[in-house]
Amino acid sequence: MAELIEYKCPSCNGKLEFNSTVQKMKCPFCESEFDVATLMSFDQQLENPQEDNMNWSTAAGGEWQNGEADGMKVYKCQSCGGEVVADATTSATHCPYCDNPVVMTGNFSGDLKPDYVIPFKLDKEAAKNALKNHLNGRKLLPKVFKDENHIDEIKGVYVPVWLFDAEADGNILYKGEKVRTWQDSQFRYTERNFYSITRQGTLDFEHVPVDGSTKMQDELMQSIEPFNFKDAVPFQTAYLSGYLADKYDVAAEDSIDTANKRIKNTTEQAFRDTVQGYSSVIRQSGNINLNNAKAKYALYPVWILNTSWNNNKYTFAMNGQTGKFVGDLPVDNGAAMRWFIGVSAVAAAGCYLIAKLLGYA
Amino acid sequence: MKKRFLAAAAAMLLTFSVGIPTVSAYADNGYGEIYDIDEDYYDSGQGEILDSEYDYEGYGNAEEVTQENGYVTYDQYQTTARQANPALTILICIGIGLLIGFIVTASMKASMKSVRQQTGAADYKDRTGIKLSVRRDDFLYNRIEKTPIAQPRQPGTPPQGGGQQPRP
Repeated sequence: MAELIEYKCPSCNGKLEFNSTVQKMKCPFCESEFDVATLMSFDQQLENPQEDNMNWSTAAGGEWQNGEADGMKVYKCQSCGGEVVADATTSATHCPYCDNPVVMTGNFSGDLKPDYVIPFKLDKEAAKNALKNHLNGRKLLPKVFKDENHIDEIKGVYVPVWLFDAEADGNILYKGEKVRTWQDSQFRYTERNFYSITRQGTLDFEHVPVDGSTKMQDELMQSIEPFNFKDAVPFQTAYLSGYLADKYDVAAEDSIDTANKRIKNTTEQAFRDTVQGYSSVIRQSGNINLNNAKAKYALYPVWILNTSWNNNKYTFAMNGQTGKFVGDLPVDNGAAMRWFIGVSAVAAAGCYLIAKLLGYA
Repeated sequence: MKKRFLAAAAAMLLTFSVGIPTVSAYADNGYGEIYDIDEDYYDSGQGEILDSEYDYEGYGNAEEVTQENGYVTYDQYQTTARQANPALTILICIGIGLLIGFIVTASMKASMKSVRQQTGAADYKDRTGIKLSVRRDDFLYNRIEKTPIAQPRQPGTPPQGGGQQPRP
């Protein structure tokens, strides 16, 4: 026996019936009428929601060739446990992340060889100037932060990142509403037209970076984005000369969630941007699948300055490729209070003067 | 630029806020009842008697009307008295000053933060953008709502909504 299919009204969720007069499905509760083919398509998409499929191939990084990693030393921070790598000609004395002393634990071995590296394009002088500019004009900044000694401690570090490439394949169903109003001598009319909106398509992503180091704050690394991959070159140990390199301690598999969230958000927004001309749009269902999703391992150049004030740690970072500088600054509460009182007093006096001129006082 | 904006905002706030100490005098004095009496006069066919008994042009001012028959005229509804209150003005100026001080300090504090999490990957999407294979907008249904428009009052019909209408 054939299965009886029951359609529900997209407007009020009531059970629809076929109306032979209008040759359409009609809702006996809200009187809405629907074209059968459109309703079937809409119902099918609603009843068969597919899960997002966001699987990745995480075979990133390569093997070190014989003798390639020779002459690279590993330093370990006794405080935060972070490990940094430097070539034999570059000695590390302090941890770039927490500024505590590091000790050399031996020669570099194991781990994956990065696929790519973006070499530093900006030198230490550029980083120091960027930091000075970042601190300039900040009225609430504690004076100790403008101390030159702090600025000299800025260090160039290659931060490990996982780069994710994928083709996002989306299929999203929206419900849109168009409103039209008019009036005659007695009534004002509001017509609401409802539409089922289907969008299917693909959006390619290239080199979405996810920080592979727990010592480097994710927000800090994301704040100095974007990095331009056009400057990336196949990894050579020669690029590490004069800089420190952090070893990854977050596996590619553990970085997938972050990459998925970012790709999904942007894909959904891109699809939503194609739905135009409606007064309101609601997402009904949809899914996003990733095709050809694969990860690569790379080192990105970052200038880092760590300092502490009032028992709080402050980290500043500059994109070693583009020069974008970020870092939350501490607020001198005394200065903030002085500014509050000063501005309030001047504003109140100004207001009173205006009131007096207008004859209200 | 920011300072200029704040100064303009303060001046606007002041202009609006100094209206607070002015006193608007609206006396009802049982006007609704008066209207009921008028309606009774009309219903009983005595409307003309009412008109002939009260010669509105003859009254000098609102006080005179109130004293003589306890009724309130249209003129009295429009009477407002504005008085400067220096103490209240000073309080309002201090309030505005504190508000401006708070906004300026809060914006200075906010400018000290530059580290923010990225929620999307828009910088890394392909330059060609989204490639749509299906782009369909299907009409589902429509609904029309009718709202009656309030009609203007015809001459001779009683007003709706009570005691602020002037007497004829």
